[in-house]
Amino acid sequence: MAVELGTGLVAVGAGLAIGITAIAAAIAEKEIGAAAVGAMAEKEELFGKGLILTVIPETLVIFGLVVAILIIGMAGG
Amino acid sequence: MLKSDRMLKVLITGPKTQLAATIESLHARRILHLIEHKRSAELDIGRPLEDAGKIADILVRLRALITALGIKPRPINLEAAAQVYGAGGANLDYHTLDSLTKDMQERIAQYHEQAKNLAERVAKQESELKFFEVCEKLGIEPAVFADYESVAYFLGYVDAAFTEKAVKGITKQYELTSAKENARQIIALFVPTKVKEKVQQLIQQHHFAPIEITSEGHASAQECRHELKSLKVDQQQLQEEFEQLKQEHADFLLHYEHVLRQEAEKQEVPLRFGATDNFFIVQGWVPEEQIMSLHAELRKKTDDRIHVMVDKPGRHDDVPVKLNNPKPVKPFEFLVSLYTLPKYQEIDPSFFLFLTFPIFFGFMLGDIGYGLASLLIFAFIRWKMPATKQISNILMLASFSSIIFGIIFGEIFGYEAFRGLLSREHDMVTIAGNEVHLLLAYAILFGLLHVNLGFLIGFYNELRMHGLKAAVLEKLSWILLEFSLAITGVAYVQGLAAPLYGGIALFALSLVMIYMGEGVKGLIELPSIFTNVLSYARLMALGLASIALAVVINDFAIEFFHSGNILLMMAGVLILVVGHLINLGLGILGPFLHSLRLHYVEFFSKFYKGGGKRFKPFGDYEE
Repeated sequence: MAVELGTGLVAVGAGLAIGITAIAAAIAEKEIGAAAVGAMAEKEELFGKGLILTVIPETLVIFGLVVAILIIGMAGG
Repeated sequence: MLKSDRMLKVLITGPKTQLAATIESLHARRILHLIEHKRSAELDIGRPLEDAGKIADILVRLRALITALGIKPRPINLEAAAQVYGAGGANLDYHTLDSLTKDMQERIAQYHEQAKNLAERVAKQESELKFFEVCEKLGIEPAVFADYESVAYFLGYVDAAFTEKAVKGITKQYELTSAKENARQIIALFVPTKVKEKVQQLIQQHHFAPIEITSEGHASAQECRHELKSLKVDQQQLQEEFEQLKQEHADFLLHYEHVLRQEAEKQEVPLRFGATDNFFIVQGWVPEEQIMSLHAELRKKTDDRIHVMVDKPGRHDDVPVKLNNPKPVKPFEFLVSLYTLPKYQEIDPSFFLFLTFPIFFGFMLGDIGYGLASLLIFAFIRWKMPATKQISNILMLASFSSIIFGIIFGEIFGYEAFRGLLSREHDMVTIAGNEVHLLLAYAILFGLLHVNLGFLIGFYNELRMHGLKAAVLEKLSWILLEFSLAITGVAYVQGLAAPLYGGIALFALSLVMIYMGEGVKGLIELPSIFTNVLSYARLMALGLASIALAVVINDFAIEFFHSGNILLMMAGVLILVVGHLINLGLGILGPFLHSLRLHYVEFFSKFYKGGGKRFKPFGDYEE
């Protein structure tokens, strides 16, 4: 299992791209999710709106994923 | 299918003599969604029918009885009720019901009275028994605890720290008997009346808890126990009688609660009508296809003495929505209503959900093994819990799609059994110099198609509701934006000048159109087109995560199988079963939520507004 340092660093880079964006999305969704559940307790019909607002920060991870794939593609290709 | 049922607005007017007959047939047909009349200067609201008060009284009593007897809601067995009340028991008149329920209430009150008396007697007996037992323990005759002029006494518990010495410090004349019980001691202390208060203070410091000196006229503990036993038997008997009362009347009570609830609604519905001294006016919505039969029936039931006016819904009417889909699409109405019901003029997206929801689910959980397993699981759940029918149907369809995608990918429980059309793990494609999974390219392509389908539906909706100009500016502009970007991009990479400038010009045009259509908000939203499409990358990501876990489980288990040791091989089987169960659980939850989210967020935001209200005809109940 001899992996070159460069390859390893690429893997770490890709991992960071996903990991950090995921943490960011999680923090954002935590706040919105709590508020959305609160709103839903008041008015159940708000489920749809609440869900949409809650998942908006997910875009961050999606970008992270794309960046990770690009990093791996660039290095591996 | 894509439209909810067409509705017509009806206005029924008639003399008050026909009010009851009209209500009766409207209630029986269950096709009129009432528009509540608001009291105004010109037209008052109606008054409840004459029996309303009486019915409300009985209903309140019935519900009180149901609560008092502790009857749980359940399917009603009318035959059981008929056994108690005779053949006509299911159709009693209000007068009989009134007296029956009053009688029953009295019986229950009597029962409670008896139960209370018994409980009091039991308590007294128990306290007397306690007294006898304490006396026995201390070796004192119960009779010594009588009224004395010069002697006071204390009988009860004190803590372990209490000693005879302390009493000696107060008086020399005393008589103390004590016995240990657990961590405390029981004492019987006789002292002269004049030091009573001092002694009391002393024992108070030792947490004195008195034992009641009760006399019910029994001579011994034995006699007490005997009496207590017979009281307990009485209690038991009373409880049984009560149970029997409950068993006998449960069906009867539930039946009439149900019947009278409907009756009460009929009696009180004129409050939602408009009325003058002699006339009533009912407004509401009726599905178009049922209007003729309703009209005919109303005329027949009222000897043609009412007038029915029918009108098409106006642009600003808040028309109730009754979704209308063929059977396979029906379950997906549930997912739509979970989000919000469509407005009357809007396209009902249930059918699109039916088309693409299982595809996205299958794309993520594309595995023959997992598909079959979840198909079986949800078939089982559907069979055992009919209440979950809708969601189970959706997931069974989705599981079926998983199997199909499993065949395309050639995967069984994460193991690539054969070379399918597309290998999720190994097929790569080079895009702009980067090697990426072919699966990613397909995921994004799905996204592009899906989002644009959304724009097209949005175009149609806008066209119907706000006309061609709004439709072009608000929806077509976005498709134009995508085209201009594609042309510009390709022209730039290929180095073509003319198409490049054309693309940029189109881009500018689309920006202007978006600004005109949606204002500054539209321009701020520009990047959303990228994030929306890229969001479909999750189709690949969830799939790969699911495979990766499955492969890890398989590899891990195989190590055990190679060991040759029977015990280790059995552990390997356990790892396979538990591991794949967990992965299946994740594999159902993730794809379900993410497929749903792609529809709610990326797809619906292109065309769907919702906020319609459900068609709820008069006479329809939610049990």
